[in-house]
Amino acid sequence: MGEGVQGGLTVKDNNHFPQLIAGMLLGTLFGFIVMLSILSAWMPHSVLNHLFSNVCHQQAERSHSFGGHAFGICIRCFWLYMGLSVGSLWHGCTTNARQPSKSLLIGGLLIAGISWLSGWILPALDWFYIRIFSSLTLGYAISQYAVPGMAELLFSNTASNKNLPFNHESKRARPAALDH
Amino acid sequence: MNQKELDPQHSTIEVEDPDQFKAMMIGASVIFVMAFIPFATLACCLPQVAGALVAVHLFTSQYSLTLSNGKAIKLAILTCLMGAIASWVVAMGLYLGFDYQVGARESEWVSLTLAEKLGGEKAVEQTKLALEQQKADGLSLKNIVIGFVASTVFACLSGLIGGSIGAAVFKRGEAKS
Repeated sequence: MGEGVQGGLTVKDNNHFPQLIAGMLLGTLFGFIVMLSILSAWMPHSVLNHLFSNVCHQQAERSHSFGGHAFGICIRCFWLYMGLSVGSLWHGCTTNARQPSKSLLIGGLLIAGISWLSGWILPALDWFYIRIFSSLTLGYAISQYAVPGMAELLFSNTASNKNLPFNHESKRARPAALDH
Repeated sequence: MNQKELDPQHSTIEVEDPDQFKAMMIGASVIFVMAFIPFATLACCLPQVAGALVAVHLFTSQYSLTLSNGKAIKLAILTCLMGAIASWVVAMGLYLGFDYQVGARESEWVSLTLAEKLGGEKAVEQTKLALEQQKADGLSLKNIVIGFVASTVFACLSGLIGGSIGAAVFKRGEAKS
């Protein structure tokens, strides 16, 4: 990894530890939610279904099912959390701290938005696999921003903060005079 | 190290934290209002993500700033917490005081319509049974506590999602250091 500029000073951004911790934390958290939603179908009369009632419509016809019982969250939510979990683990564990791909995020948002809107206009267009693909892509795309953000939140007060590649915008915002 | 890099004139300017409260309040108001639109429950976490995006957009526009991922996520989480907790308290008040559950009738109607279209008569019967079971269960203290915890946790997660998207999409000038 090369050098980066933080607050106008050149530093080596070779400390991957916060990104790893943030990635593992978010990956585990979203993975846990995915697991709970599966468990809610396995134990349909438990409190797990009530847990998700505030955040998802829980329409059985629009959810995966297990043993005849629907999951606690719909297909879109399930695969969004799955994408966030897998993406967070991936971005936390990879040592190559690249710039997040904005085009992937915009693409994911567009596909998910069009799929969601078309489902309301003409339900036949709201194809099962498109829902899965769009949500998974969007979840993965969001995770590439969420992991460095969480790393910044968790470790911004530590002394080693100056050595971390948190703020991708710092490079963009530096005064032009530094480029010479 | 390059001499220019140590020159204070060329360093990124350290500014005091601009006031986030106004943006947070407007974003939280969006979440609060959307929570009481009957069919909004069908949009899952979208109202909360939308509220978080509004807050990040307003804040970055007002101060012509580009927020780092962490700062945008922090602003979005606080916005979602404020909106979600306020709407949860009012919804609970309506339920306990007037036995009115926001969006319940609409949700029931959608469930039965979808069951009829996609599953036929048998699915409708199953859905009716499930809805009756829900009504019979009522609202216990345990459910209230779980509801509050779930609202808080998922508000944080929605804030995380909204803040991440907001940080990527809304760039309005110099990065806030």
